[in-house]
This record gives sequence, structure tokens and C-alpha cells, in this order.
Amino acid sequence: MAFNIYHDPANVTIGQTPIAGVESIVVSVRRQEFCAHGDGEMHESVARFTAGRTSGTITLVDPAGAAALAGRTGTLSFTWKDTKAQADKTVTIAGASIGGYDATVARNAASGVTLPFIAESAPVVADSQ
Amino acid sequence: MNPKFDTCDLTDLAAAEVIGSPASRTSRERMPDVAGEFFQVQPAGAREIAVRGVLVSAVKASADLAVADLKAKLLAIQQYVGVVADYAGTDGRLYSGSLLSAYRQAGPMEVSAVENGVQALAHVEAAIVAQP
Repeated sequence: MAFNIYHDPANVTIGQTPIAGVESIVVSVRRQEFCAHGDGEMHESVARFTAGRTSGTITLVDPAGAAALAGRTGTLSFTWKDTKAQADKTVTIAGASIGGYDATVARNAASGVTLPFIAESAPVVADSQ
Repeated sequence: MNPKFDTCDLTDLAAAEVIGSPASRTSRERMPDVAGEFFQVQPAGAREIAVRGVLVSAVKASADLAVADLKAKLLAIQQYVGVVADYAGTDGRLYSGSLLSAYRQAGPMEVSAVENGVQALAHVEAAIVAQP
């Protein structure tokens, strides 16, 4: 069965604002559980997933740049590069909000910062143009 | 099994009952120089049965259609509130002459993808006043 592997997120923007120095991006989609059991049932007879929630983190190297991005909203967009040089993907997440940042600046080490985000839509993954 | 009021299923899935106590109906008297109380015990009053479960819509092509279907179903069942009829519990036990005193949604309507479409679900609660 064919599969693809991606790396090097690039062209990262939120609401048209570019985000530089991105190391990695984590995208999480979790659906809420709707579960119930009734009289005499040894197992839940209702187990469904309902509304989804999109969240994630963007990890980059520039704490000062991250500070300027905290609180930004808009469509989050970035590309995944196909490791086999086939079809790169563009990921688009509408209604994204960056909620703050966690910056680490240490002695004799490169700085790093993570930006948590949540979004009001599911990610759309499409072939890059 | 799904609890049924008259001919109407109160839930579709995961039905459970909490059977309340029959109301005690007792006259109590105290005498000035006698310790304790006298009780005149009368026939028991009604009991309340709390029912909970999940109500689901038909499978529809969109979330909006599924939610509309579930709301219509909920409102149709609520027309039995205030009606006296037979109630059949989750074990099939029949309580004749019961009153459906409340029927409500117990949480938001959620939408779930299923095979061939979308289904709306909601937890529901009913209160039955049954004979002892």
C-alpha cells in the first residue's frame, strides 16, 4: 500500500503574516466522546464521536518573533514537503488563534519557542500548487 | 428495553431508570404526657421514576437536517407531558395509570457521522409519577 512521508514545514503564515524560523508543527484533531450505558448493560451501548476540536503547536527558534505573534488570528497555512519529491501538501486551518508562547533561551544552546494554537475548523490537506 | 409511555418510546438507546420510593402517607399525633408519637398509616402515595437515556434522530444527509429531525422527535414526545397512561419500564414492568410529569433534553444536541450520513443525539430525562 502506498504511503507518503513529509518533512520540513515551510511557508508558514497566519492571517497573511509569515512565521519565520519554524522547526516543527504539531496538528491535533480530537473529537468529543458521547457515551452512555443503560440498565443491565455491561458495556456502553452508545459510543460516538461528535464535534471535533483542532489544536496544536508551532515550534520555532525566535522568541522575539514569537512574542509578536502571540494573539494573532486568521487562517494558518503551511506546507509539508514530500520526502520522495512527489506531491507536497499545503495544510490550511481556517479560524486559527495563537494563544501565547513558551520561550526557552538557555546558556550555550539555541533558543526555542512553542506557540499553541486552536482553530474553529478542521485542517484541510491538499496538494500544493 | 426502551421505556415506553403509552405507545411512545421515551428513549432510543442506553435507557436507565431510578425508581423512587412510594410516598409515605401517615397521620402523626403527639399526646402531652405520652412519650413518642402515634402513627396512623394510610395507603402509600405515588412514587417517582426518573428515566434517562439517549434519543437519536434518523440518519440524514446533513447535520442541520439531523438536528431538526431530533428536535421534532423530542417535541412530539413532550406532548405526552401531563398525560396519564401506562408506563413500561426498562425491565418491561408495567405501571398502570402513570403521569408523565416532565420530559427534557439533558445536554446539547450532538451530531455524529454514521454510515450513510449523519445522526443527531441527545441525552434525555423523563419523570414519571407512578402508582406505588
